[in-house]
Amino acid sequence: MTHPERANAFANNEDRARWHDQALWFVRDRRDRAMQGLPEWEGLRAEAARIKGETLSRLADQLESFEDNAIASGAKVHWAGDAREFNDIVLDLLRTRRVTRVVKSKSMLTEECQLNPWLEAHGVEVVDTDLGERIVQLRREPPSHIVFPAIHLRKEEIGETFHAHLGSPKGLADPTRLTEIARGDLRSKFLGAQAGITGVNFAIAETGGIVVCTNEGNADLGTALPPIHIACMGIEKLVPKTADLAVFLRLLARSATGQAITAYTSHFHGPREGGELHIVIVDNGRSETLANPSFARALSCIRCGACMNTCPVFRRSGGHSYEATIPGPIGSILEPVRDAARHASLPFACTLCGSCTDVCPVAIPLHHQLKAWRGELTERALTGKWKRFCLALSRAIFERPGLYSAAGRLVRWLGRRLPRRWLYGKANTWGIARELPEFPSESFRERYRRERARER
Amino acid sequence: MSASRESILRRLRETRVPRHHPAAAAWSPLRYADPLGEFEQRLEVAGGSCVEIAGRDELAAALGALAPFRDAEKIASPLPEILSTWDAADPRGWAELDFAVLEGQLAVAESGAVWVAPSDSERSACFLAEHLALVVRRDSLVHNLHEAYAVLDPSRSAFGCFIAGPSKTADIEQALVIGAHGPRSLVVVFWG
Ligand code: SF4
Repeated sequence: MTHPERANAFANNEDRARWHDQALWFVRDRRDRAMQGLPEWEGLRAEAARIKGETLSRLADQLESFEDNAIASGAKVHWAGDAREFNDIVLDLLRTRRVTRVVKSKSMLTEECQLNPWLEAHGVEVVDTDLGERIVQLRREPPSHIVFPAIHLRKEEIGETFHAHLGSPKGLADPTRLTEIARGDLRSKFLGAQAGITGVNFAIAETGGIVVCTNEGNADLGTALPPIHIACMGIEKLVPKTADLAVFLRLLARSATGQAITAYTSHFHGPREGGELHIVIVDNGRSETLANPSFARALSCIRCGACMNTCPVFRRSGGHSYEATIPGPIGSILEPVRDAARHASLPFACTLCGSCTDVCPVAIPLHHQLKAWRGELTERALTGKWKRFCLALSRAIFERPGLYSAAGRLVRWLGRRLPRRWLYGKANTWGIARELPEFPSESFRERYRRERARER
Repeated sequence: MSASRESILRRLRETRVPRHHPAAAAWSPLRYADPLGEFEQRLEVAGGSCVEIAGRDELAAALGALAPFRDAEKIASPLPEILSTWDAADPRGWAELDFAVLEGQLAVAESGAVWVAPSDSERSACFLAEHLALVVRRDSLVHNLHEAYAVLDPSRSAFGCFIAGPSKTADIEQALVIGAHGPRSLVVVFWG
C-alpha cells in the first residue's frame, strides 16, 4: 500500500482527522511562542547545525573518544552493526543475568530494531513505561508520532484499552483518572523490574556520559530501581562537549512541546554503586545514510517532532499512514534510504510548503531533501507508472513552448465545455474535495499580447 | 574488540561527509533583568512552585506551611534541618515515601530547572516520593543553560539531573496530567 491509500483510511474518519490536525497545530503554536521567547533562536539553530555537522564529519574519532571515556567511567560499551546484532546483544545481556522482567523508557531505536518482540519471543517481559508508549503497547500498535505515541487515539479508545487490560471501570475516559490507573500499574512494574532499558538523547564524547530527557520521570525510575541499565543509542547521537548540551537542550523541548526544558534531563556517567551500565551503540544503516551526500545531513535530527506537528500532510493523514518507525517529513527522508522501493511513496506525501525546514531546530533542509528524493525515485523508476507517465507528458509539454500554448488552449476550451461528471472523473483526484478554478477564455500571454497591441 | 565495532569505524572513516558551514549571525544567550522572577514564572508554568527564605533555619517552617509536607507521614531528607521519619535499606523501600527534601546545586532561570546530583539512595527517593522539595542557594541562580554548564561538571557524579517541575504527561488527548510516575508536586526553596 502507498501513503495515499493508508492516509485515506485515516482521513475518512473526519472527526478524528480534524481533532488530530488541531491538536498538533496547537503544539506547533506552543512551539512558536517558546521560540519567540528566545531572540537568539536563529543563532542557536545555526550553532546546532554547525556542531552536528562537525560531529558527523569526524564521527569515528568522536565515537572512539566517547567509548574510551564511557569505559573509564565504569560503563560497558557494545557495538551493533544491525538490528539483529543489537537485539542479540540486549537479549544476551539479560539472559546471562537471568533477567525476565524489564522496564523500558522511550527509544525509537528499539522500535526500529523491533527489540520488544524479540525479547518477548525469548521469554522476557518488556514493559514500555512512557504513558503513550504503554497505551500503544497494550493495543499492540506501533506509535504514530515520535513525541506523542498515542496522538492518533481518542480518550474513549484509551479508556476501552485500559478496561480490557488494566481493569479500569467500563466507560471511563477521564485523562487524569486513566493516567492514575496507569501510574498504579506501572509502579508495580518499576518495583518488580530487574533491568531498565532507555534510549539516549545525547551522548557526550568528552566525558562518555549520556543524557536522557523525559517529562514523566520514567527513565529515572527505570534506572534508579533495577541494578542494570542498558542504554541504546544510534551512532549519530554524539555531541563533542558537555557545553554543547546547552545549545541542544534549549532547542529540543521548545521545538517538541513548547516547554523551556523537559521536566527531567538526566545525565548518566557510569553505573551506580554495585550496578551495571551498558551502552549499546548501533549503526543499522546510519553509516550508509551518512555516505549519501544528498541525505547525510538528515542524521543531525534530534527527534523533536516539530516537522511532524507543522506538516499539513502529517496532521491530516496520521503517523500510521507512513508505515515507518519515524513518520513525517524526516521519516520520509530517512526511511527510503533504508528501503527505497518500500517507502517510495513517502517523499511525495508532501506539498513542498517548506514549513518543516523552517521549524527544524537543527536546520535540516527537509523539503529540499524530499524534492531530491522525488527526482531520485523517479529516475530509478520506483514511482507508480501513472505518475511517471504524467511527469513524462508534462516534461514533453513544458519543453516545447508551442505545444505548451496549444495544450493550454485545448484545456481551457475543454474545461469550459466538458460536463462536470467528466471534469471530476476518476483521474481528477485533486478535485475530490476541492473545486477547480474557473477556466479563463484566454491565457495570460494572449491577454498580454492583445493589450500591448491596443496600446500601440 | 567486536568485529562490528571495527567495521562501523572503518565505514565511517572511509566516508567523506561534506562539511556544512551555516552562516551564523553573532548571538549571545538571553539574560534577564529579574532572573528569580523568570525562574518562578517558568516553574509555575511547569506546575511547580517557589518559596524564598532568608536562612536555612527557616526551612522547616517554610515547608511546614505547605499542605503536602504537613500531611506527610513519611519524610526523608539528608538535610540536617529536616527531621526524617523514614529510611529505606533497599531502593524499592522509598516507594512508600510521602515527601523528600533534597539539596539542589544550581538553578537556571530560563528553564525553571534545578540541578541535583543525588547519591544512590537519594536518587530513588527523589523519583519515588509523592512530593519533592529542592533547596537551592539563591546566589547559585544562573540566567541560562550555557551559564549552567560553564559551572557544572555532570561527569563528577554517576547521576545528575535538571528537574523542572513535577512529573507530568499529556499522552491522553494532549490533556496535561501532573504526577505521571514520580512526584505529584515540586517546590523549590531559595535561601540566602
Ligand atoms: S528533522 Fe528537525 S524538526 Fe524533524 S524531528 Fe528531526 S530535529 Fe525535529
